[in-house]
Amino acid sequence: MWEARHEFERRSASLLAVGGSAPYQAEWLATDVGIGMPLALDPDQTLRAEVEFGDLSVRQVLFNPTGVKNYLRSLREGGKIKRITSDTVRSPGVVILDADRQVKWRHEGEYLGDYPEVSDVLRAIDELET
Amino acid sequence: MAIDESALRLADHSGKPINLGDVGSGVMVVQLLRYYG
Repeated sequence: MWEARHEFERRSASLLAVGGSAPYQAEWLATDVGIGMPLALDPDQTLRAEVEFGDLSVRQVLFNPTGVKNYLRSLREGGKIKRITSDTVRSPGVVILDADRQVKWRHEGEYLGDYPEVSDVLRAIDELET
Repeated sequence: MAIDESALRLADHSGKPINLGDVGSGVMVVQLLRYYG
């Protein structure tokens, strides 16, 4: 989403990435992956709990073809298998909060790497403002 | 559904606490990343 940051700025929307249970994960996300946007660690999964995101099942982690493909791609791009953390089974996704911190839109991923298209997120913001 | 900001314990990689208000005051898009590994 960082690549489309100007579109978010045009809509006065801030971007925040929350991920990783350990500092090395945050470092990897910020440097190797280069997500660019502000990144917060949430080792206790507090935000995830507040927006009621759950965990992926073992089936979703190990046997979803798209998820496996995304995982292998991350390894090809430099991701390294390290110790298992509480992040391992967390579902990915995106939420949109309004100024009152109400959850106005959410996409909870059903497999590894299941994030919405940026165009869908931008459309959701536009619909908030109409 | 409003989130309870007081329940959040977000931090940067150095452990410094981050509040949502530090990031922005209006609409906020939060990407919940799932670390591969």
